[in-house]
Amino acid sequence: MVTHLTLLNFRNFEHLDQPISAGFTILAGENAQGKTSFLEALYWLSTARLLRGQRDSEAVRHGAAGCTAQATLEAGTTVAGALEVGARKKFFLNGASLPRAADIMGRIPTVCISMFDLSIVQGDPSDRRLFLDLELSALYPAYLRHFAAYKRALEQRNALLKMAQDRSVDPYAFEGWEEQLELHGAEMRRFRQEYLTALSTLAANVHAEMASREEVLSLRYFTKDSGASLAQTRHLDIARGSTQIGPHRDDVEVLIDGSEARLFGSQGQQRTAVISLKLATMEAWKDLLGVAPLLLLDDMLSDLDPVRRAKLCAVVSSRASQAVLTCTEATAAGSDILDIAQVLTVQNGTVRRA
Amino acid sequence: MLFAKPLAELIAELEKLPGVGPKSAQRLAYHLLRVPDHEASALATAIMAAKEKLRFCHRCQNISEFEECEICRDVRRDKTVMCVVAEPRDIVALERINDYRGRYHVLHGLMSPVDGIGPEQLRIKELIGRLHDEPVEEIIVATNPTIEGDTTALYLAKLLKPIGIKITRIAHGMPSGGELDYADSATLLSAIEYRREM
Ligand SMILES: Nc1ncnc2c1ncn2[C@@H]1O[C@H](COP(=O)(O)OP(=O)(O)OP(=O)(O)O)[C@@H](O)[C@H]1O
Ligand SMILES: [Mg+2]
Ligand SMILES: [Zn+2]
Repeated sequence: MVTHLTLLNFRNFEHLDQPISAGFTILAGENAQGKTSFLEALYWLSTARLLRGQRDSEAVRHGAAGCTAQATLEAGTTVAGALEVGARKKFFLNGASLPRAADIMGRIPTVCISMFDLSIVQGDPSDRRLFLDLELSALYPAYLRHFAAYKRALEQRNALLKMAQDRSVDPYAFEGWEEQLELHGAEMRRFRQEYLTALSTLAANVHAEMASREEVLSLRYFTKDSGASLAQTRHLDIARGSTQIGPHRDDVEVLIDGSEARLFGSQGQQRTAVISLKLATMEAWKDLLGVAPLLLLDDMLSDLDPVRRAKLCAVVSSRASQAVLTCTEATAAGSDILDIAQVLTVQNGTVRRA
Repeated sequence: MLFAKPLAELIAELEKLPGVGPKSAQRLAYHLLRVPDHEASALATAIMAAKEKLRFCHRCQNISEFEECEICRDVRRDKTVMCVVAEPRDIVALERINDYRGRYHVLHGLMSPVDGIGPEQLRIKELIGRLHDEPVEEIIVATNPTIEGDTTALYLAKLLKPIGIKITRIAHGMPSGGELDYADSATLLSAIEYRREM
């Protein structure tokens, strides 16, 4: 549980020193005031990643030399991040610098749902792999290790494939990289498949509560591999100059009533599917940790019809323990949440109690 | 112009050194300008002498003052065990613990196609050559636990298995005295993976 957030030059916040309520917080305010930025700071501290944009330096307030964010957790633990323009970001646990940014992951277990997540249903296979990889890396450090090793071995094998286009390469030199790929790749698939099986059931339950009519949401891991080994596809891969099979080419099918939501779902159905999926990840965290992670909901209420909105609020209030929600009008949150929430007004990089 | 030409050249040379950025290169350059002439020329002479006098041991490929290095010449060392490392500095680290009594072999790098390094770029031919005239019974592969270190170890294992020599790989895990909570997760995981019975 996060009890306090301190920001310095983060996005449009020059300085923020904000206690955070143990239960629900609603950040209300007009457009472009800093609601998403507030959530993003919490997200950054829990994942070492920004919600939008690729480069961390985008979080530094225009004109400032660097930014810092610090969250205090209930036991007094502090988690902090600092970024100077032109330097590597650094993360700190209780003031001690961590060797790698990725080591901050999971210190504040967080599930964030924002517009950017629509890509899970609407986007490319790579968007869905990113979703899986991020969730699994945060849940299981072992997954992160297999993922990093796989990625590196893939770069190495691809470089070797390109080399082999112009000259003959010792087959033993291939075998080492291929063994690594097969070893770590099999582990990645095992993690992904087990996680998806669990997630599919959880998401179906959440979706059933939220959808207005009886709709069945399910998830399926999808691989095109025929079961051939990398040694067998080597000559083909040399011709293409890259590795054609493996978990880096797999996909997840999001199905509503058995057909792909990406192709056949309505806007509202797709949006509900994404929310169900993300709330299911929260349940997966809960199963693993015994407590619900911090839930961040950015602007998810505004575009839903009143019935779905009320259902979403009911689901959130019954399943989350600590949550921060943004909306332009606090009333959008509905009485389930509004009655128990602390409402804060965000205006031009400042926060005050409503 | 920002720096006088000789100074700019000195800074440019220093910047090429590993771990030296533009700022430290400037600091070092200004420092060198201030030291007495004899100290500056002692440094220059030491660099040239090291370049001229040092070579690679014909046996283990470690940096050596002689045709054959001190470790290879030491008759008390166990000729039946060979520890394979990536870099000469790894030998220094292993020798500091004063426990290993066998010989070494330096590969001078690890396999890494993205950097254009395959088996041919490493001193592997030299290693195979040694197996013909040294009574090696065990090879300990002591490369780092990175993907490149592991793959190079795998490659050596495949290459050497037909020769019938025992091949082992050093275990990796927690640095002793390391605090669990602050150890990075990769270290923790391999510490668990390579745990031993007590
Ligand atoms: N690095 C930065 N430095 C200064 N201002 C920034 C930076 N990044 C974003 N901003 C600005 O901060 C303001 C707040 O953005 P934010 O996305 O937090 O708004 P919001 O309250 O979520 O708005 P909306 O309701 O439209 O989603 C915007 O005006 C944005 O342009
Ligand atoms: Mg916003
Ligand atoms: Zn020697």
